[in-house]
Amino acid sequence: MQDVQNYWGVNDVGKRINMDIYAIVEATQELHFGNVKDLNVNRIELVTVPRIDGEIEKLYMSPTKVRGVARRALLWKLYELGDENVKSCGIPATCGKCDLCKLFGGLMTTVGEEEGSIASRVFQAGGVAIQEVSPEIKQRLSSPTYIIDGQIGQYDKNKIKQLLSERGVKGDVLNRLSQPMPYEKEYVVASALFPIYWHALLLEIEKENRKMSEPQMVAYSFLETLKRIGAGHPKGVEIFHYNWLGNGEEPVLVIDIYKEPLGKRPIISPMETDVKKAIVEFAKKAKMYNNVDNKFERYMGESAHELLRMLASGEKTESKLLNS
Amino acid sequence: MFLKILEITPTSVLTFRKVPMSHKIINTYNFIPPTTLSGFLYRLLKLGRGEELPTPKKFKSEKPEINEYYILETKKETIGIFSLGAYPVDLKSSVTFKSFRMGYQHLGKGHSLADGLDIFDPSYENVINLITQKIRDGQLKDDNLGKFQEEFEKSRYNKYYKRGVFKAVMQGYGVPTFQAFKKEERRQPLDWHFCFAERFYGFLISEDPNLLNMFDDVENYGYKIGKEGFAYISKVHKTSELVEANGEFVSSTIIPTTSTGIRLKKISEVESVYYFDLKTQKLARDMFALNGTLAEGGFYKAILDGLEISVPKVTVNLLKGV
Repeated sequence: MQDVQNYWGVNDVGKRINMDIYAIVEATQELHFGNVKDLNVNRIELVTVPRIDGEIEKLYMSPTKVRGVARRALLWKLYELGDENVKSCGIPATCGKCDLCKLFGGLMTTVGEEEGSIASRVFQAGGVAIQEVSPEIKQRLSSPTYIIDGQIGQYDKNKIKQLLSERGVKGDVLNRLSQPMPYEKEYVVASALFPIYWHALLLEIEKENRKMSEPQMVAYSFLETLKRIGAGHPKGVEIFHYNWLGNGEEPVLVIDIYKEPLGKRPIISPMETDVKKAIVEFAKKAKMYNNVDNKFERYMGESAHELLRMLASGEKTESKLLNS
Repeated sequence: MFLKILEITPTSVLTFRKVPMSHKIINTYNFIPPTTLSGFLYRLLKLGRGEELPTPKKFKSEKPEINEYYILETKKETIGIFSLGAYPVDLKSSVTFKSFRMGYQHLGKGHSLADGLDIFDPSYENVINLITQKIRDGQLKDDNLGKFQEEFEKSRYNKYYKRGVFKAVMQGYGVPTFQAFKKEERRQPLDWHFCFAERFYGFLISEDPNLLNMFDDVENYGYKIGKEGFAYISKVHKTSELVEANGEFVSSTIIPTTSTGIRLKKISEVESVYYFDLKTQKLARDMFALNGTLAEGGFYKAILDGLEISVPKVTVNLLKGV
């Protein structure tokens, strides 16, 4: 806890930088974001959206789920880079000492004297799909698997019966082997578009003796999360590409790096159900910004994606605020 | 009396935990409570000015002081401003939806949070006294005292371990090692409710319009709000004057149901909400009728950018501590 307090105590306001990411991502294939299980139906999470003419339900990529993936992706990367501190850190037992806890927050409840909490400085938001489409329902089969002496038997019931009877299992028990069980599973339809927003408050932009700098951590976890999002298989989304800046197809992505919020935030109203209108709204707001005294930088489209890639790999970027 | 309206746009779904709190259901209000708005705006003011944010606090063992909380009503530069909370345009433009989440619960082995043992919560001295007494009675071996001191240090003064030792010794067992006293984690299924609205209108009032103009600078600033979610100030409306009136009105804010001097004709909904009591300098709880309630009595009114705002006098008086 002492470390943490010193860490926040530094709190050099001159170095405080905000980093916001606004993107529209596309489900490149079906996705599953689990909700409460009904009997033999795996439901996905839907969000209720109020509208003037009543409520509608939309597909939902919950920011809380994006957050979990982001945190794990970063944890693995730091582990891979040889960070010793993160080895003893994870949900639910966050350590409160590693770089990850300092950025994503931590809750320490069972460490005796050092009990406490760190507030997160990265917030995931958005996630309400644009299109108003219903989930797709697919039939799936859950097959019982038996492993006997290292041999795996699945459908071949007679073989399993034989193996079991060789081991002295007799009578009615052999007829009680499980049958394959059909069930239904709901999916987010492919090509569903989700606006997602990340808001980060960075306190230390330099790498110093850490494995990753804070902007690098945010950029890396954002890019890494995209391919890992979704429960089970298949997984992954991709930033939607569209001719929204007038220079051909480009990722629908905006990165803000700023000390003062001098740009309009490209937030799409969750009530919008028309993709074209939504992107027009996004583009219109994205172009409304000004940079007074180098307090605000906005990157759009391909240049934003390049900035993210450069940041994620720890390269020097063209951003003046991050290099100051 | 002057009024400042701030348009708050959430970028995600939000959670403002309802009181009384439940472990199994994380319930949310469908509006931003006055206390939450107050803290949120104070933080935005600090962010806008580039001032320091709070340092993390150890909790449970260290009780925060009121002056450490972010409460607009108590801060030197914002004294005289009162937060009335933020509300969706009408009740229909805000919905809650239920989501299923898995939380975690930490347990000391054999000691759940609900086993009642926390009522004892023995001090270090209590445990030492108990062990000494048992040694004196011949029920425990002499080395148990040293063992406890050693293991307690090893546990980094873990209070669950301390409780565990107390229980074990009371039951006539020896002092367990910290290693043996494993911590258990179990998954805790939760129903998590989220509030969803496109925008909220936050109301601040003050006798001094210049104080309210301070909030012109927080436009477009945003931060985490409530328990879950992020919101930013998408528009700051001009400070406007509130006119006193009397009669029937539809309230734009919450109204304390316990107050006299107002007749509640048709209550939209009631909620138990925390507010900051200036008189006692403590957080207090009361039952409130939500916005959209038809009432009769004294109120302040203003019309701004097509929005008709009616603030009941009783709410203002309660928050002012009059």
